[in-house]
Amino acid sequence: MILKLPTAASARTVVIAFGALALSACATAPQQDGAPATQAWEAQNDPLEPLNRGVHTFNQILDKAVLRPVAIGYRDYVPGNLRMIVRSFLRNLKSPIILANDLLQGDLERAGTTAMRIVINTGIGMGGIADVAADAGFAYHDEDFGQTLAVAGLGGGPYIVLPLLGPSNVRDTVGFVVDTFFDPLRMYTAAHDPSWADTVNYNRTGLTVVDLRESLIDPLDEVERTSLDTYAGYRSMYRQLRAAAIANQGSGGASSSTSGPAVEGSAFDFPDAK
Amino acid sequence: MRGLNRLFSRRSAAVACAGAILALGVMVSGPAQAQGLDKARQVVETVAEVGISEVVGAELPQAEKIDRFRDLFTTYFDVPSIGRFVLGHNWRVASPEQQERFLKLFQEANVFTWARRFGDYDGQDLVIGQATRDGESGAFVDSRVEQAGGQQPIHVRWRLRERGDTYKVVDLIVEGVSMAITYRQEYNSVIQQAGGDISVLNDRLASQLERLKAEQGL
Repeated sequence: MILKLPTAASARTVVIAFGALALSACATAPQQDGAPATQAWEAQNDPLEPLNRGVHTFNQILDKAVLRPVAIGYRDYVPGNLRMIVRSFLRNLKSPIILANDLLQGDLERAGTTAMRIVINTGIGMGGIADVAADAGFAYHDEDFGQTLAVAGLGGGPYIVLPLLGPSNVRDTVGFVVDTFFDPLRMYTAAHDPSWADTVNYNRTGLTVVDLRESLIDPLDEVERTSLDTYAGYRSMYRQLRAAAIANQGSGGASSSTSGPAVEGSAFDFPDAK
Repeated sequence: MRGLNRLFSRRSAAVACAGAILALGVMVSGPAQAQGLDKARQVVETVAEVGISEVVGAELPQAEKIDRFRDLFTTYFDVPSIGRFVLGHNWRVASPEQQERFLKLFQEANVFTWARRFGDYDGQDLVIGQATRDGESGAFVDSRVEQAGGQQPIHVRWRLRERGDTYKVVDLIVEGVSMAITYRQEYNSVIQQAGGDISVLNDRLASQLERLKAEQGL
């Protein structure tokens, strides 16, 4: 379970991605005025579909052979308490990046929550192994640079399925690389090159992947069992989940009633129906 | 109600403000609209109540539960409208026979997909929250499924449209993911991959339905 993230390849991704980002900068969320906007929104913005489908198939094979079995084993053999500790610890390591993005988005309330989480969980939570902050009313939320770019007005750009990492788009790929680059632990190990650097970084990446995949066992099993076209299903869900995350809706969000829907309600009305 | 308490204590100020503004909005927009929202919320409450007490939570053989669920689903959900929305522009291309077959298969695939999950029900609470307007003749009703073991609740948003003197459900938005939109994009992709042939989608739905039935020993 070793994935090396920041490499020459990812630097190349940044260059390519920024080029594409410049092109896609004018793409925005759908306007809410009837059919043409809905149609534009429905245009999948997936010019790389044939390539993406290939990568999707590759990811599915890899997932079936390695990731899912490892995640199942993790769930079955590692006690739930220990898995919670791992999750809290990983989240605490990631929280400086979340804080930075909260601040970049100008969301002082959520930045305050994240800052309190860092202080409480690193201190009372013993380096982040217990999420005591959540019990004190500072619930975890995720935030990333892709969302920050979206809040700044950038559209997602073309859909991309990344090898190993799965669904993304140009904007979120850039965001992922930026978040990875500015991760404090990664920056520290890159600057000081301590002897433990590789061990720590690889283990962290491995645990992050296993923890994430474990949390997705049930929903992804459901998709695999019921979807008639998993590629199109994941593409649709990725876009909707990102829209919800950008609007800070869904789990951890205040409510799901803060921003407009992607499709007008009248799209469900058919006056000519029998 | 544990969840509601937590929500209020954590976000008391924000909730109070939002509540006040919303209450004001309702008063200003008049009794007719408030009544509509009440009706929409009532529909969701009925579905949740009947669904839990008379279907998933009832001591019945699976086949009987499925029949009851189908009744509930076709009574309170506008399945034909959902089906047409899901088919999108392909609806107009389809022949009347293909349309009819699709609606039937789409309904049954939904019934049996839900039915597969009946056994997972373990006393979870569905907490119905606020109803909000959705354009001229629609409403959203927010709800949360409270989970056991301290897990985050799941947010489910119901989308309803006015139908005659009541409301019918047209979409469920689970943690920001609309089921109708997901189906629509998936099915459109299947049709597109098949060179625009709607019967390919129908055939695949039919074999999915067979598989779902077989899995449940039916």
